[in-house]
Amino acid sequence: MENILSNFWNMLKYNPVEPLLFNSGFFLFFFLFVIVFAYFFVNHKRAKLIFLTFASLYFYYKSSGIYFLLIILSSLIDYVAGMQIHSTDNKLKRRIFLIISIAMNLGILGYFKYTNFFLDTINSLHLGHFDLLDIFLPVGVSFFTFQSMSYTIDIYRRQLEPEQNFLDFLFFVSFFPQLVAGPIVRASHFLKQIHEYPVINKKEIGYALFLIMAGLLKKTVIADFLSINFVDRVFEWPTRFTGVENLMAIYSYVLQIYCDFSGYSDMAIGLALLMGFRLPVNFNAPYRSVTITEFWRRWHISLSSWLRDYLYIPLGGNRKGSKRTYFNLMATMVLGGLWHGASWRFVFWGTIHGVSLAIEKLLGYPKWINNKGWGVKIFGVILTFHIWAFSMIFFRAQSYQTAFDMIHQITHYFHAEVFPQFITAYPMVVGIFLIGMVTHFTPPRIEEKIKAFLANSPVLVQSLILAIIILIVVQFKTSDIQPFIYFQF
Amino acid sequence: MPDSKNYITRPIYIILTTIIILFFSYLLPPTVNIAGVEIKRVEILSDLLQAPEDSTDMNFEDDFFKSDSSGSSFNNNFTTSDYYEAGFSFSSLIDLFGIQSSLSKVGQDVSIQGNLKQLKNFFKVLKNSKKSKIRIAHFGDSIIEGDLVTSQIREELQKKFGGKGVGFVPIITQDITFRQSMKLSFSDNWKSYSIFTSNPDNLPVSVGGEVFLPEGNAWVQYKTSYFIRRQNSFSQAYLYLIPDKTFTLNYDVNGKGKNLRILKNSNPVRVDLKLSGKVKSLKLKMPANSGKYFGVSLEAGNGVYVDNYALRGNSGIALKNIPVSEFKKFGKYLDYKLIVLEFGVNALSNRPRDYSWYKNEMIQVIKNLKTAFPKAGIILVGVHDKSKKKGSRFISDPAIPKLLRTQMEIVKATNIAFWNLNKAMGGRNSMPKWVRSNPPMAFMDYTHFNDLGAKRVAELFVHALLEAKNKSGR
Repeated sequence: MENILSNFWNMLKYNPVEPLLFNSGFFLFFFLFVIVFAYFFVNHKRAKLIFLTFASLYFYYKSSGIYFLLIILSSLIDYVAGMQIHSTDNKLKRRIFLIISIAMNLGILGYFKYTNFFLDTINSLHLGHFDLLDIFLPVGVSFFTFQSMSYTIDIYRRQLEPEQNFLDFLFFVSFFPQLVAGPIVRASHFLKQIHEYPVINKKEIGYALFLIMAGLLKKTVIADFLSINFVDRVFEWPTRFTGVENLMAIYSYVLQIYCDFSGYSDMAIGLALLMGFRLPVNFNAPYRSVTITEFWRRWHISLSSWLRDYLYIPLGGNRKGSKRTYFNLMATMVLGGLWHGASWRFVFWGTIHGVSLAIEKLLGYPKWINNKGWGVKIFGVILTFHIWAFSMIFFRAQSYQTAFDMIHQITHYFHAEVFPQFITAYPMVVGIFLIGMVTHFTPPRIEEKIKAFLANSPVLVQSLILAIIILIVVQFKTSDIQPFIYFQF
Repeated sequence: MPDSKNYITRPIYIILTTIIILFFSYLLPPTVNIAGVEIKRVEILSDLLQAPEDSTDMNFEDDFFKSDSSGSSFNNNFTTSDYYEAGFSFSSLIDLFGIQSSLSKVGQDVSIQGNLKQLKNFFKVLKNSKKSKIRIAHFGDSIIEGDLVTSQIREELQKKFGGKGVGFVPIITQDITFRQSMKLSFSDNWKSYSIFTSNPDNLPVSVGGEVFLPEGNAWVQYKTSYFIRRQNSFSQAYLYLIPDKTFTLNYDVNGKGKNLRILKNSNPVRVDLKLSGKVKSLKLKMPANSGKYFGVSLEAGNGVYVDNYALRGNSGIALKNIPVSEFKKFGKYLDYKLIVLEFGVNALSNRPRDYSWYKNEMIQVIKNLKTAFPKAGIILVGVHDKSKKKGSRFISDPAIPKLLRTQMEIVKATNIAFWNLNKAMGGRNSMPKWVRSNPPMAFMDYTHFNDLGAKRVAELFVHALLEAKNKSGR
């Protein structure tokens, strides 16, 4: 008994090695606890929001320890800044409080995410020598700072009324489904929902369950499995592997990152919906895109639209002549690249996409190809996929050296003859890769049928399907690591 | 007609029913088969019900070398209560809020145990390293492939005791694309035989168990690399071969052509390629059917040379297949003063119920090495930590304590020295810390060290070696 109690205490505590994720067993109980109490307080709006805020802060504590205080502090400053901006017509005062809010958010982001990048850059340019600092990157900093900024900027633009109660605002910033990995929720989209009585219809239940199940499978069965059993080991040290393996690792990583990121977003949207909150769609089958321009309308939509509304358009968008338009496009993509990670590789990654978008715009390529037949469009899909895949080498590799090693192995050490060996040695990896790719191209009407089936099933069937999905997920989470295999050639 | 009823309580029933179904699935037997695939239970409750980790099986280690009564062993006095501690001992507040360093150093100093007397000769010659060449043979499995660990041991020792160059390199190796200490390229008409794969004609083999025959006019090129400082050039090169006929060897030194007459011999010979100055590139062109080739040794005067013999996928027992007579033929030229044996991971994967078979085979290997290299001290390196997945967590391979104990018994039976790499890594469940350290020190297969981890292992080993040297008073 004592043993069970101490295990229970350990489960409740922050564990740096095991952050709380939607696909952990503990989360299932946490979520049941949350929705039971949220319903218990359903007629007491204040009590419900306080409860959900505390639950969210606890969720954040489970992922990042003491840094949940950071969210409270930054929310307080944004809350006060929002009130102050709204309370006056004095242009200077409004601007000062907006700058305070933006500086604080970018300051948090900059300190936790970019300090060592900055020091490292100074060191490598021989402008001085600084020891790198020991800075822990709290989970979700990139997301909640952007959410908060949308709040104060919208108030400044007089598009939004400030929230009267601090706890309501804190709830918006810390709401646990989207806290860790998005979608980036706009204050204007979310705040009005928290004052409404939660409603969810039958169809939405089906939709939410579909998103949660698909998210679980994408995250655990595809992304985590490919990552541990194949992708990581090649990216760790590409020169140990032939070009065939390097190429397959890049393709697999492209699938992995989509499944990981979109799977997590899907679960967030589904979980929020089960509580009666509607979050924006974040991914729309991006690898079906015919052009890079289309790609960025389908990939991480909440970020692209955030960057459009709060960076690209304020820079002048396409209203200040074509030269300025291209500059704005590049600046947005380069900074967008840097948002993904603190390294020059992400700057390069952003540049690849900025240049691709600029070239497409310059040639009028999207308009041209969308008027062509399906044969040309398939070519467009393949080309777009490969531009993306190429850029992702730099996104995933630990260093430029690793990225160049991979490209070198593909161009100089390909060994096509190991391909059959690869398929027989990694049947699970190949199989899961194919399943992931095929389902990505499944027509939406099949998806709609599954959602409708889930919506119209009784509770017992819905639960049974969810339980089976969880059992499948567990099989993959606990499966042995696939052994290393060296190929003969 | 669309159903506009509010279903807000429905999710509660769904999640609750799901948990109940999962709970019932937990009552099923631990493993169920569906169509031949083993189905595992959900572990939602196993976190709660698990017993504290049993650590008694690692306790044997503390006194193992103390109880020796033969007198020939060197008793050293350390205690290792921390050996089997898996958890942290931070104060409870820090534990609760997880304030911890993200730049932590893994590994800890561990002394060499067992019979240190047999290392005295090595320590003695090490003192005179300015006057002679001191050779160390480093045998191991894929852990040292690509000159990993070895290259850093070499670097550390050469910095302290002199010497420059990578030492012995075979004609061709499988690790050319990731060898950082040099760049090796060769023509594709080399035929290789080894005691580990196939050697149907019982051809004589090198200390590394391999031999290479040129099928037609073949070549091999050795280029230095810049990754490791003391190994970025050499000024002497020796070719090891059995010349089947008298012939002229053409070779390029830093791109400049040279040649040398090699006389027929039925035994392995060492041919000095008579280099001078700083050499960074050496290309040898071997005529067809000119002989049986073993490799070259790249050196620069007196000092320490550590030769890397990586036997991928091997548990070490294959070394028994190299006849003592073959070893002895090379012993003339490669006069090893220290032999390091770093094996074990591949013995784990065989998963035998007991290791007595492995023990007997390894004892024979060590006896052979002792006969072949009577002046050499021998250190056996204990198997490093390697994880297996249990549930969704990574735990130490459960066979490790047994193998580690077997290795200590081998050490005792053969009266050699022992360095416990497992303990140096941090003992039980230390591999995940190496994988997750910042920057990472091991690969995510939870088995192999990366170059940084290999460097750390070499650092810990050299530190232990020098500590033993100081203790011996040399």
